[in-house]
Amino acid sequence: MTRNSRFVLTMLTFVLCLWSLVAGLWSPAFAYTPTQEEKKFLLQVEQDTSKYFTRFADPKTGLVRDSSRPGSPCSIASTGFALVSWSIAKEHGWMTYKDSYLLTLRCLKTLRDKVEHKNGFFYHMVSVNTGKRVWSSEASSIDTALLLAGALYAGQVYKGTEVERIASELYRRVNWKWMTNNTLLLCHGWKPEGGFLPYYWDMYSEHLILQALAIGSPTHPISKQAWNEWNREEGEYNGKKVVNSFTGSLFTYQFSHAFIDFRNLWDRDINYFDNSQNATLTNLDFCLSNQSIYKSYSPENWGLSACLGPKGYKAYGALPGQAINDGTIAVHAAAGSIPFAPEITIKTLMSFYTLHKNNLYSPFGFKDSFNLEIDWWAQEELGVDQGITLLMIENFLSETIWKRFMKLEYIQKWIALCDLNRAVPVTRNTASTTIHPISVS
Amino acid sequence: MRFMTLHERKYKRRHFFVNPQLQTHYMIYISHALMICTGAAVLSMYFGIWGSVLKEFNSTRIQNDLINAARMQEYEQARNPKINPTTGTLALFREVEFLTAHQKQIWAEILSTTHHRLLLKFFILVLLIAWASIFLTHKIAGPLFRFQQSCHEIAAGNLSLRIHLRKFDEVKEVAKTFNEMADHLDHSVGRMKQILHEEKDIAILKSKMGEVLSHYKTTK
Repeated sequence: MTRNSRFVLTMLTFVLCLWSLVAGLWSPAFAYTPTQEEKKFLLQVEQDTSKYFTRFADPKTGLVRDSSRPGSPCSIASTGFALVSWSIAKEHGWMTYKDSYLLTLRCLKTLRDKVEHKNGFFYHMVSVNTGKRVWSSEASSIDTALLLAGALYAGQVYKGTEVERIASELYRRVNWKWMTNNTLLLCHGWKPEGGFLPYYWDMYSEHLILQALAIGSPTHPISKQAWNEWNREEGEYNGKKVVNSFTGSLFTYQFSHAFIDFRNLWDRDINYFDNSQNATLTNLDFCLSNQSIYKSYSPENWGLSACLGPKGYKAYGALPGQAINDGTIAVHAAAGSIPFAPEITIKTLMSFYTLHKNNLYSPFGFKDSFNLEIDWWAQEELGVDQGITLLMIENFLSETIWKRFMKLEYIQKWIALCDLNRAVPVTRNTASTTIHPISVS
Repeated sequence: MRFMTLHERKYKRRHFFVNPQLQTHYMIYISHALMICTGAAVLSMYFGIWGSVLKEFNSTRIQNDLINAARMQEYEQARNPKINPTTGTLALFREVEFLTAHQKQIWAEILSTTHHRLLLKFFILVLLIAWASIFLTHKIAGPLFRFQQSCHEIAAGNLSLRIHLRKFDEVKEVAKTFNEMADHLDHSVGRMKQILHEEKDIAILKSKMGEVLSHYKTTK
């Protein structure tokens, strides 16, 4: 063997070793690896869903409509999801860097300069053209949190630019303390006509992202005691324990998880990633157990979450919880749970597509919901439901959103203050103690 | 009852069309200018006010608003499920409440939009009126000024002066008459100067001058 051949062989071995090491480190964090067909399908759904956020964004203000229905106002939460969607679209090459950056910047400038707010809290619904409050909506704590999560994420994507500066400005101006109304809990919202709403975030729900941003705030943080103030009620269904939300709607177990990677965070003995996994499986169990009432429920057709139904928008859900259901299936229920139970949810989504494509799929991804009992199909897409679908697919495929969002100093502050970054859970009861492989810096 | 004085009777207008051609001409000018201004004002008012109203209250918009009102009621219910569900008439009342508040908002927006639109259109109207008044007054004031200057010069003894108005200036007939008067005066004074220069015999001179001056009525 010549000297040159030996050198080439050594280099090849070195490259092979390096590749194995990198591949090992970058291997999917989920126990389930999607097939090529599944991956292709998910990417197609993700791409189509991202079109919702470009098609229904006002070209002048960048604000995004609540629904694809004509005349729909802007939903602040939808706009938060849109801010993430535009950067994802850029990273996949579905949007140019310039278009994505400019739309993000336009939207953030509108939010800073035009959109009505109270102490930094945006109104739930505003006019897409002017940013003024519409439909007597409340200055909403959860919608503001979802918007800010999107804005801060965009700031991470476009680090060192005006986008990051404005996102930080929007976050820093929010007076979270004011929203507690001199209590330890965060209020749902405030209206100019009647002051604070009589509802507080007092039990498990989608509000974990709100808590994180409020406790982690560098300017007007709420007390870290607030984290321990809300109830963690544990319900059980078919042997599965779930720290449940009031409605049992699957979105309550998903929205915060779109941004925060809870896999290695322990709230005493509760791991909210595991909890959402259990909630997803329980949701499927609940549907299958109710097949005698609603024949259309099946392993291919399930998913109870807040969505449009034959009698309007309802907080559909499963046990444990209020468990309102009438046979209506929310597409985003399964889609938003992809990281929690990929092997089940991806198959469900694929069967939705195969079985109901003509009625349920549009150029903007899946429509909101359907009810096979009465052959009812939603005729529109909702921004927040498209948002959770898109973000969770991306988290499952690349974990990009989680990785970037968890690097935020505000999130790290919340984790440190609430002591969530333990390697080993503190035992509270017999809940699952699975430790997930990815550690977040 | 008040009776006219002798002076008032003497100067009372008996004919409103003293110069039908000139007056008709001006009537056309003024009525055109007024029609343009009024038309602009009416269109501004119509589109400024009704444009916003029609935009907000077309059937599609109303249909969308009804759906939105119902949707907002449902969102509110879904967000606060601990409260008793509002169904049937109660839900309808809540929707009506949303619609009422929304319509108040729409009216406020209409007023705000209308104010802005009308302000802009009013500004355009002011410019239009300013242009019309300058155009009309220039047509009259320009020749009048020329007449005034000419009268001063004639009074100062320049009988060779004639008025030449611009192509589209008004009162050309008056200028023609004025020039005829100036011609006549020029001719008479010129004739008197010629007689004075040529005639040596005082008696003949007086007779000829008397003949020329006999045409003129004077106060002295």
